Amino acid sequence: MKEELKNEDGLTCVKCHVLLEPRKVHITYMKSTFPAVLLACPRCQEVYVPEDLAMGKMLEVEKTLEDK
Amino acid sequence: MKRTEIRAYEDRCTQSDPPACESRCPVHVDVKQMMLHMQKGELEEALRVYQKKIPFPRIISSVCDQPCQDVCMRKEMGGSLQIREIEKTCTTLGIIATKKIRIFKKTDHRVAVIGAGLSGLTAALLLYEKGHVVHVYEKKAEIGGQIRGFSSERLPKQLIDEDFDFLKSTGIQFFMGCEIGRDKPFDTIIDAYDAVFLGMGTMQAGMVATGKTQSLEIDLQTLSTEVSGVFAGGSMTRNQADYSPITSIAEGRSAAISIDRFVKKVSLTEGRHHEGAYKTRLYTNIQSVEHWAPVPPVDEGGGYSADEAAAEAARCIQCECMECVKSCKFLQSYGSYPKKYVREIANNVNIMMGIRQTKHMVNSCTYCGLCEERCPNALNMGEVCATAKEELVAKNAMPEAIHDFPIRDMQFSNSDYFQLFRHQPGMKSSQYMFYPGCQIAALAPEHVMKAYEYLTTHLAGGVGLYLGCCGAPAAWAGRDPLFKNTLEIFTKTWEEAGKPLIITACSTCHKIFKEALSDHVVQSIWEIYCQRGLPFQGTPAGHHRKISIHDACTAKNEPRVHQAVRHILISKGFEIQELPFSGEKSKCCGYGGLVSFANRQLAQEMVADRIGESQQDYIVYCQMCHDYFSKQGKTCWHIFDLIHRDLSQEDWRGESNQLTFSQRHENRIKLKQRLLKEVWRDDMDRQPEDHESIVVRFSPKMEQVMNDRLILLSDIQQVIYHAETTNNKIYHPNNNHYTAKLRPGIITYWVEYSIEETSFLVHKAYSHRLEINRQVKENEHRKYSL
Repeated sequence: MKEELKNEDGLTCVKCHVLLEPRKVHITYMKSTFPAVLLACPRCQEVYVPEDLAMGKMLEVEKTLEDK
Repeated sequence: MKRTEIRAYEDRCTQSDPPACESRCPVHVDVKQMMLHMQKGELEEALRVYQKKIPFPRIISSVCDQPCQDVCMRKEMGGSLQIREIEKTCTTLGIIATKKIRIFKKTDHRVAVIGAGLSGLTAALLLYEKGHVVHVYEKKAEIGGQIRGFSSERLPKQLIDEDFDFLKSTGIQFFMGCEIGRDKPFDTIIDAYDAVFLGMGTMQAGMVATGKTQSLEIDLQTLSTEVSGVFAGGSMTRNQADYSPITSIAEGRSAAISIDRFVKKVSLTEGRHHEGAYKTRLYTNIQSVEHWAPVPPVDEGGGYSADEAAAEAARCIQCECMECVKSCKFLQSYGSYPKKYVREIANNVNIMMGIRQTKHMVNSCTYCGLCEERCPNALNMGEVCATAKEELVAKNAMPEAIHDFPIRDMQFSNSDYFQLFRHQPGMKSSQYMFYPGCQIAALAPEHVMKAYEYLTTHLAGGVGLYLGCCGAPAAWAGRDPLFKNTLEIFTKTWEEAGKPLIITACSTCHKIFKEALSDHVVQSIWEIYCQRGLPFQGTPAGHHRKISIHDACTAKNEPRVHQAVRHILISKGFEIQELPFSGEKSKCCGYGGLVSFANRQLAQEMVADRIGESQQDYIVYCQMCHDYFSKQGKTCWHIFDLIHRDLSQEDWRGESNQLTFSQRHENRIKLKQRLLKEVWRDDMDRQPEDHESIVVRFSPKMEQVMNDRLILLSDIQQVIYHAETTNNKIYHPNNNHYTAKLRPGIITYWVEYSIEETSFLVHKAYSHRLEINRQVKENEHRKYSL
């Protein structure tokens, strides 16, 4: 996964008042699980998925898994 | 899927059956393929197709009695194709490849062939190729038998010799000038060989085989005789008036198969149907085939030139069925035909391999049933798709997300937001129950108000009102338990209400209730209007009068509905121009089977196909047809638009609103509130949910994005409500926006918004189906990455 993922915009978790950081998460769908790195709150783990990721790569993976 | 069921479905499709010419040809020359090559000027290729089945091409192309001509589908449309003449051109102008002899495995079995006519020579050749030792006895000095009787103009001796030349280089032994019975006793033949083929007259064969003056009895399927190991066939066994060189070849082939099986001691009869000439099941529609007379050869005696043969071959209709495929965008889109689709779907569902295309396919059928109407054997691909879909859902192999939106829409309609049953105000029972359906309520709620008012003033005995969704989305999504549960809830209410007559305004609800309950408890509102009279009588201005009716596909088995709708339109002063596909042969708008959710592009193609059928404006009586057609630019009207207006008093050709999914939900909520308030003088009993207090604003462009992405206003409200009450949100310092998410079901919704004084402004709305887990699991796949 993209090692260069950085919180360039200074996104902050409102609840914990801390900057989001790249964190390893697990993605599950249609009986498959795979790891990914997303920006997330280091304290409460709240993740952030930007629009282009959701409507781009994630949609692609969804379709691949659905078609399996 | 059960093997017997699959087989029964497959058997109904005749597309892979051969055309009439091929099946009537006793050796099954692939005439269609030959003609296709000839049409393209591929004479050598055509000749190769011919030679596959014909061992003696020069002879047969000269003297074939062409039984194919009798059954050629072109016969009534200008005259049968001149098949033999084209074959003759091939053998005259093409390079005839010398027959290649392929011996699979040599055996010690010895076979005697008595009589070197076409049947004897064909049998000898095939038995030799099977590896047996073959000896041919011929009483004359030359091989060929009866074909030597043709005039030299018709069949020059040179052609016969050229065709037989290759036999010399085989290991078949010929004993010429040897008459069995005279020169050599039959007993010695019987003793010396494992099997014998008699290619001579039955009387002659009888004498040879039994020594008595009697005809030999021949089993027509296997060509075996009463004498074990002795087989008989060929032209001499038939009436001379029926002399058929091609049948002799076929009989030689059949005898060879029987003899090979006999010496190998296997069943003579197993799997031999369709060996000789038979009647094909293939259906070919020639309604649109134009008359076209045969091409006359310029050189009358010399047959066709290559160009003339190609021109004659162009008259070949290329027989095929494809009746269902021709009229169905779905069946066209997978490039094949039902027999193959059934096999593929069944195989894939049963072994759960390669289900990718199958899932896509079964989700792309609208269940309109047009295939069944078109098919000469009434094969309904919708039944196959529905069965497969249900099994895939039961096996957890169908992604729920595909149909999540319409299922949730259904559940919304059956929740407190919309669902309602009331007896008519002031009544304690109902003779009738009006069930307008969820889509009219969503898209044209005013018609529900007007229709209910009409019904309560025109029908005595009480008209109850039931708002809800009939469960069709669950049925179409293959969610059988959910569908049954939805129906049960409806049925219970209906039974408690005393089983009133259900009056429907949606043909899908109509079909669902009729199938679930009984024929006699459901009636369309269109019939009621016919019986009780229309509320307005005015007719439209002249230039608006001509229209076409698009019948709802779910009403295809409802001739009374078709009649009622037409009656209404005629009494309203319209002139109806019927569409090519109407009534029981109507097409679906693309909503059926939830195709528009699983295969949006195909659904749009279906709409384009349907609205392109006529330039006339369409009248529909299904709200979804109206929605889909007008979305793609067709001027069309729901019949309610005409019923509830005095057409002479106003320009009824008003706007056609495209409503977002959120607006449709809103409309259902408001309709229930309005009905309760205005009809029952009752305030809505539902307590608003917390998230409904969130006031949201968005641009028209954002509204369109939400609609395209199937994100509802209530989804947005829920996300923001959750974020604002829990503080689970992310802050963007560069623009003061917040991003928050919520996963109320199987979809995660994301909203980027900013906070205004009294509302929230939405900047982005998106969703995904993947589930994000913060906990890292051990056995992870590394195949996918983001």
